[in-house]
Amino acid sequence: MKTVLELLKGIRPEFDFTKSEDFIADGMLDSYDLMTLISELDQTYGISINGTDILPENVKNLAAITRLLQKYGIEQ
Amino acid sequence: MNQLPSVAALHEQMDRARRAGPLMTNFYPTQDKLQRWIEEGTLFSMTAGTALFVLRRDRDFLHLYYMASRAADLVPALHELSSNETLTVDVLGKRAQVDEIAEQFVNAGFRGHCVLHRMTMTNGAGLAPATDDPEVVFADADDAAALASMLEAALDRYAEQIPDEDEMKRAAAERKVLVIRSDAAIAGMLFFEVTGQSSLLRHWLVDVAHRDRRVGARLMRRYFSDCKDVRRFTLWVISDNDNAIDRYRHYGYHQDGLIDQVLMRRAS
Repeated sequence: MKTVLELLKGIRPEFDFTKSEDFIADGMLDSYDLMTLISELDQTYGISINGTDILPENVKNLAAITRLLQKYGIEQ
Repeated sequence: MNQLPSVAALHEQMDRARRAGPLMTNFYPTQDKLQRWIEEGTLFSMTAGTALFVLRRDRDFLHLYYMASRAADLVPALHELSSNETLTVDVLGKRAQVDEIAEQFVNAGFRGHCVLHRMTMTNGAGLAPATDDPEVVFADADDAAALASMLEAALDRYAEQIPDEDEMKRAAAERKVLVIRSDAAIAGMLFFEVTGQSSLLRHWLVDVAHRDRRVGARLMRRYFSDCKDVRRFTLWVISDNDNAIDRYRHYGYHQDGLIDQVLMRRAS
């Protein structure tokens, strides 16, 4: 199963996601990429992330995505 | 069709749509745009079966955004939309995904309008050295009406997300618009947005009377010069605009495989 970092690198291979605290503010993910990421998190981990959880602050860095996945019972 | 009162109300409706399964959507607004559309009262929603539609008023037509779990769910839902309004829809994705969804819209009376390709540059191949061309300057608020009018006259309003005068005023205030003037007129303009390490080239336009005088090249040179910390440049171009595509390739952009199929259903 792919890790979150692998999913992110698959979406935007040109960026180093380990060095950013805010992927959106740093221009590493745009709004289309965010929806792609949500869709890939759903498919990879077999979950359905609620619309109310699709917020920039929930996917803005690796720690936030880890917390979001934990909410759906997924441990990285 | 009901006007959306808040971002929270929209999220609740998206939640309901997502309960039917993984969501297909063409709705990717940034938070600030979403908030502004709601404040302007231009955003509406409609639920039909398990599909959710969000509609945005733009001039004399509506942009249609969909959220559905299956492409086939869209057709019956689309028939519930009023035929008194002209609707446009942007279906984004890779070619195969787009074709499947676009077919549902065609089955509901939409016709293909045009296709846009996303072009990207990540290696900085087109970056120019610093330039001090004194004739390339940032637009000011007083230019907004002329800039909006210039774009309106030259571009396809159904496909190219043309900013209105208010948006151009904001863009000028935020130093997102470069211009070259010729006497009192604007010879050329370049409208761009920068977010961290990425930049989107919104519009690059040279007035017909000033073409073949390197106005466009000077604007691009200044743009790249000002964006030396940007690692990813993107833009959207209409697929049959060979002249523009050739120019973007010259600067180092390439088509990255993401397309936007614009479909339209005119009011009956």
